[in-house]
Amino acid sequence: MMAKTRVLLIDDEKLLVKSTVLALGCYEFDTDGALDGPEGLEKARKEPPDIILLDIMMPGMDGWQVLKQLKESDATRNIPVVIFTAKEYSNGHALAREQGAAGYVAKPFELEELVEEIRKHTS
Amino acid sequence: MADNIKILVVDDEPEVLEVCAEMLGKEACDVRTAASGAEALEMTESFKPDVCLIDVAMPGMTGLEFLKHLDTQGCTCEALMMTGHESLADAQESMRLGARGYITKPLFRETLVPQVQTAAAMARRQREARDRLETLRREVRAAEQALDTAREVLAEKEHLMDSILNGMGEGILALDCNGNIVFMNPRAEKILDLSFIEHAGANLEQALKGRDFAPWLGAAAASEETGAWDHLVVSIPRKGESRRHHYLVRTSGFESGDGAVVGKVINLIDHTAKVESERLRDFFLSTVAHELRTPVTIVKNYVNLLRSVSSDPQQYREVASDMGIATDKLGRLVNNIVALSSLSSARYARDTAEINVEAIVRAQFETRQRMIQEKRLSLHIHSDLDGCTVISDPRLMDTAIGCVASNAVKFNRPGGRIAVSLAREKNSGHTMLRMEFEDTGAGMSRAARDNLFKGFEQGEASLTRRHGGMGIGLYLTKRAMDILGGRIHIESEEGRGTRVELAVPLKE
Repeated sequence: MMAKTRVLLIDDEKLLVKSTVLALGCYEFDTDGALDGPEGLEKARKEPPDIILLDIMMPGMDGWQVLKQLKESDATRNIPVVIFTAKEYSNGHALAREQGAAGYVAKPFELEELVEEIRKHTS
Repeated sequence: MADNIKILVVDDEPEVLEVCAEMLGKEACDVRTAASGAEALEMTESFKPDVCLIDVAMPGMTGLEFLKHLDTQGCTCEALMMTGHESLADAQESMRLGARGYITKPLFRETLVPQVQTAAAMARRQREARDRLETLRREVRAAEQALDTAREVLAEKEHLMDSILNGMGEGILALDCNGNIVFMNPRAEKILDLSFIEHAGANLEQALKGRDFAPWLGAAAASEETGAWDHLVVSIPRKGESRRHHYLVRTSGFESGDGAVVGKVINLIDHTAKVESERLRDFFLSTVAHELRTPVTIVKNYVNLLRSVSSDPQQYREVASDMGIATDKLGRLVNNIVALSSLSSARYARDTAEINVEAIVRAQFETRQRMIQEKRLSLHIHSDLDGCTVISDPRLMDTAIGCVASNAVKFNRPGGRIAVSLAREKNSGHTMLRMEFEDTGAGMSRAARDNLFKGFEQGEASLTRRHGGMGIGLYLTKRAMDILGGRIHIESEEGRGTRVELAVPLKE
């Protein structure tokens, strides 16, 4: 049996993390959640996932700061990060790429779209 | 008659008077006689003689005394003294007093007439000179009055100008070409917290040194541009307040006659309201949108979950389906509101990504699958793109295509048809992506079509009222096309259908 793709979701909305984890559970993903930047960074370093879904608008450390730190650490540098945000960016794809992310998904998203995006970066 | 010389003869001897009258009367002279100085004086006022022939030796008032009186009276005649040999000394004295000449008696025509005529001519010339002088004096007075009036008008205009400059809401500064302050109106003084009286002639940059908004001066004061241009909005703290006001700095050079820039006028225009409204919009775009989207995302997740839960599948599926429709609609509402706000803005930052246009088209019709099925519409999508991606802004394309697709479905008649064709086209060196959407829907009247793109230019307020209506949809499409540098073309016939053609230039 193929190992499940390990997804780490960093987002401060508890219900969003819970529901996304459950929804992705219907696919071949093993999803863990972190409710803030520091927790996400720790989990990523301890047990590097195959992909990180990263929210931007979080209190304290925001997503861009988390992304920066992920890219600065050897342990996490090569993990593809998909920016996953409800914040309005008209140039989200370009911006995400500029900052070193692998992709960009705007909320609300189609689940299939998110799944496609995850698969795209973890195949 | 008017040119007759007027002569007044004054002599106590009646024979002299007669002789003069006779001799001069023949020479086109108007002659009056007086037997004494006193009598003569009474006549000078009204008669106004050109020449007075005056006997020097008269009893009572002598010729000299009469001469003096004439002078006092201001009579402007020429005086010729008549004298017998005895009073030659008097005659000479009278010359000193201003008489023109003297004639010795006995009088002869040959000597009298020429002398009188000469004297008269002189008198005339003098009178004319005086008249001219008087005229000139009058003209000078008139000119002076005109000048006074002009001065008053100028003063009034200056006063008006001052009131305007002083009362103006805009701050106005004038600088010479060295950046020294030539003028500041009260408003500018207040904004910059400078006093014109104190700083007139001072260098503006020096005067504002150390203030945090000083850097903008470098551009404004040093700029070589002519004409008028706007600089950044500058944020200047209000004196005594923590609040900052934002001013649009508009600079214009003013030129001398030969086109050289001799100074600058700087307007400080209060832009605070505009900046604040833009901030409000940004707040709306980022924070509000975010807030709306989070619960929507959560519900969508559960909806997807419910779809795959097995216990009581029928019920769960129906609930999930309905929730799906509701949240889709909510999601679209949010996206439309956001799109409307961000596309209306002049500052839209274009995104670039590889997009599969055919996939977007199919997805947009997919989300309206239920309505397509209910209306039994046939959908045909033809694409020449062969699965190739194009580089463009995914969201603009999504919005543009989504609105057209929405209309094609919403306004179609039952059993109707939707035909979409996508093609890549090269013309005159540019590659264009052409998207055509044809439907058999209700169509629009010419008036409706002309009003289509007006959207919020007309100042319409209520978003929710317009949402979902045809107007807002194609307004977004048009805006998206504008931003992408593409174009939109619409053909429509009421009762028959509509054809929307979108063309977008592509980067090769």
